Amino acid sequence: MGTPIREQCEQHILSIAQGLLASPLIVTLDTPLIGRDSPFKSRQLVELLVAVEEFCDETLSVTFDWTSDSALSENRSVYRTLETLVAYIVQLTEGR
Amino acid sequence: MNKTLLITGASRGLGYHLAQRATEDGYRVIGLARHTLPEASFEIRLCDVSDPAAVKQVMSSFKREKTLYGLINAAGIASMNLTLLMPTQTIERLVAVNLLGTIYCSQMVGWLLARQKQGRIINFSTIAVHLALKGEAVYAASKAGVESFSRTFAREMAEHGTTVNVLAPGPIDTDLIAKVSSERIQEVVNQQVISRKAIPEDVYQTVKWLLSEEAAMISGEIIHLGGV
Repeated sequence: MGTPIREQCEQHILSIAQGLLASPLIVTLDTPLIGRDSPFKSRQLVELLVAVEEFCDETLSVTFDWTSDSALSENRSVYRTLETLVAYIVQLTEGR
Repeated sequence: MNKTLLITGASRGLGYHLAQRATEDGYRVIGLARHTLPEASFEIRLCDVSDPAAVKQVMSSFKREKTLYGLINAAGIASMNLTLLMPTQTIERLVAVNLLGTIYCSQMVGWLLARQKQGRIINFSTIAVHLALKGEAVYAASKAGVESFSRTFAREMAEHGTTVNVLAPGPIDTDLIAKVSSERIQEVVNQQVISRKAIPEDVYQTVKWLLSEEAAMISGEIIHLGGV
């Protein structure tokens, strides 16, 4: 069982991600955000990250830097899956 | 008008003229520059566009700016010299300000405009790219990079309602060409379709149109002021 903040992040981000996909595909924490297996088009990925940034700002009071090297790196990017994105945000809240 | 424009290189030359005129036309202009300008009629924030951390810091301050509409990347430097005689430091500085500065600002503002789902980005190149002018290889290379970047970035930003275009003027009387001889300038002007030097207002009128709703279908274009 995760922490309340982790659960809050998971629920919120899964909800945003699901809402962005027009397909019947069910989004899970394992869903890739980038790469050829990702169901997200580039526009949807940007919209997701913008929504996540607002969530971080307004609800969690942390700054989500979408252009940091760690965020954008293909291999170790926090954008690999929804789970890695959630983990990154939880980590940000722990550093508040 | 409730639209905010960010204009780099706004403390002098073409950037200053664009910032002044856009302010007169009702835009809220925020100039980005390395130096303050107390007499300016618009706000200036200090920023060296070749420093990605500085660009990120300044641009992040506009996250909550709901009226942000456009970015004009007017910051630029020139150094006319044969490549074989150009110091490495000058080469690096030309690429850092002209090309990387444009990319850094476009990337950061691109995120902000994606939130608004609309916007305009206007970058600057030069007629020297098209004419392959001797003595301007590095300067032209940095600007050719701007053109190439902008054409592709336009495709990436189209789905976010933002157009990206490039203005590539011939010689204009600003500090940028102050050290170039009048004979050399005339040689370049003679190669344009319209054989006269442009004035900053020629550039502004084109910028004004690109910013307008009427230019919503114009993106990924390189506009040669004066014609080539």
